[in-house]
Amino acid sequence: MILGLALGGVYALMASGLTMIYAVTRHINIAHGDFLTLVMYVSFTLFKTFEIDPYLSTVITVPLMFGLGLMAFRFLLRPMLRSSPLTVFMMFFGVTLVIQNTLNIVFKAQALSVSTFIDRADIPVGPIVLTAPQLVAFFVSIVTAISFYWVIRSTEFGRNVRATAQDADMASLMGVNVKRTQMFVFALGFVLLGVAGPLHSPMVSLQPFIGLDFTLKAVVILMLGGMGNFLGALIGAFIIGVAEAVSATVWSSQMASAIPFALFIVLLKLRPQGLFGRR
Amino acid sequence: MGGISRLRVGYVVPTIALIAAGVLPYALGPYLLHIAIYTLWIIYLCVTWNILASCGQRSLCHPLFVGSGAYTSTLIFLHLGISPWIGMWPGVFVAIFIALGVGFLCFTSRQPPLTFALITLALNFIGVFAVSTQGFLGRNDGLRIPWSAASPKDFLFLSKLPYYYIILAMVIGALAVYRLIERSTLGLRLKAIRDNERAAAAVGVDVARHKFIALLMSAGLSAVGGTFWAQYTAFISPDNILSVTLSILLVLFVMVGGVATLWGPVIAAAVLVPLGEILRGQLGSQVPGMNLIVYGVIIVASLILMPAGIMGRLRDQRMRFVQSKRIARQ
Repeated sequence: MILGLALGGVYALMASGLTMIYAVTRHINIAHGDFLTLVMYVSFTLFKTFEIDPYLSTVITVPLMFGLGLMAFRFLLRPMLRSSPLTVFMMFFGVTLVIQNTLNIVFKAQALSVSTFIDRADIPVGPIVLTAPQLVAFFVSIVTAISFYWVIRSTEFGRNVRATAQDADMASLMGVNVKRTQMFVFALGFVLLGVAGPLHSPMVSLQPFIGLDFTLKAVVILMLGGMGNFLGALIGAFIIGVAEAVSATVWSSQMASAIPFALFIVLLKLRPQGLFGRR
Repeated sequence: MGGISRLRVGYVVPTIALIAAGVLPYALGPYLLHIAIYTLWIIYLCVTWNILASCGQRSLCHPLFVGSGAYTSTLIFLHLGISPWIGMWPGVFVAIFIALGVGFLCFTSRQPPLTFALITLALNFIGVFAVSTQGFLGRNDGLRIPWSAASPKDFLFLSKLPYYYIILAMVIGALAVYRLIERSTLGLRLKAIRDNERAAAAVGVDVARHKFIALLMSAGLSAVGGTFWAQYTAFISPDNILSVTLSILLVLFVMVGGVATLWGPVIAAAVLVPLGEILRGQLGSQVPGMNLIVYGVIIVASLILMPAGIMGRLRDQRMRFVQSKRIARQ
């Protein structure tokens, strides 16, 4: 349950980036999870070669991801903004193939793990025992998500983002630089990955092909919260995280990774607009 | 004049390609012949996938249908000893049954865009989980068909040649089916749905029903492809027949070639699959997955440069050419 909240925190970071990108561009970046894996591998490499603690490595991964996000937007998404969502969807699948297999070549297929300076310290919280990375992941992601929400809510940039999300053409008529907003939102989504990656890396065994799994969970969360609804995505992330953790203790872990998908299909059947979406 | 040259291209090129494909195996060694068979198999699956895509639905769970064909016929052969020639028909039914479920999930209510792609992708994941946890389906180890009983009666040949001609015939059959559908009222209705679902519904096309028809046909034909691959390799596992990668590759080839065109998937797969396979053969031991990286780069580049695929690009250019001539005449 608590583990679920920790997972949920990381999912929240990933999903709110994806949601924002969807809100302002109407495209889903199916390679989102693979960029997350990429970040985790970067922090792994930093850890192995320079012995930089994963948490410290955010100092490097965040600007790195910001730059990568800008480049990805400029060279991949921007030429295709007017294409159908499905075409863009498949284009990012191409990106997925490239990232996954490049990682596979560089790092080989075996699972890797990272440890931080506070690793393996069990902290009892009431009746439950948690590991420190889980606690850190939970709190840092909550703080990041909230500050992110604040940016969207009450800054000039956030107002542009919301205007673009509501109606891009109208926003552009009102003097919002839509392309620019989209670009920065895209990069910001990547920055959130840059935070999420190092947080998540002590909790998983790192493999090149897990990215698509992450993306799908993020997409499930996106739909759960209602397409393009920031708060909905946050709540959805915790629902999915908890559902996964609970089903992992009740059934097998293999079952647990199928649960979000099953939940997703049922949800789409019952409430296609999402739990918190409006028709 | 434009009409005649189009007619000529439309018949001459496929005829030459067919003759070339007919004599090709005699020019190839066993390794290249294997690549040719694999390429044709992928082409077959792409064409069956394209039947569904002709109403605008891009499925990411076709391996489920391929897998149901492969697993059903193999299980029937292993446990009951009934020849896969017969066993593939129950496989088709299983695929159609699954397709009914997929259709029920996706076609019976209005859903946001991309939902179909996402639901089918999730279903494919669930399918892989399901197969890899069931003992009688061989889990991750897969199922093996014993070679000892190799006989044409059981769809097992010692030489690769018969397989080549069977899959070639299947490709021609699938293309014929696609062409027939495209030229029929059904095809027109599917095209109407693809272009504008609401408008199609407004002029009286039963949208859900036609999507179902396209999905079931596509799924049934894919299942036959599954049985073929099971018999050809005599080995099936979630990895080689159900994987999400296969599902993505099919979509990529069709999109590079041009969705909902007759020849698009054929051209794209005929170029890309041998390229990828040879790359894998040459470099596979040092850098595994190189072929997938190349595919990824090609798909990204080609979708950015020609979002409508090769055939879509050609069609646009022809339209522009015809139009410019018309303007010049005026």
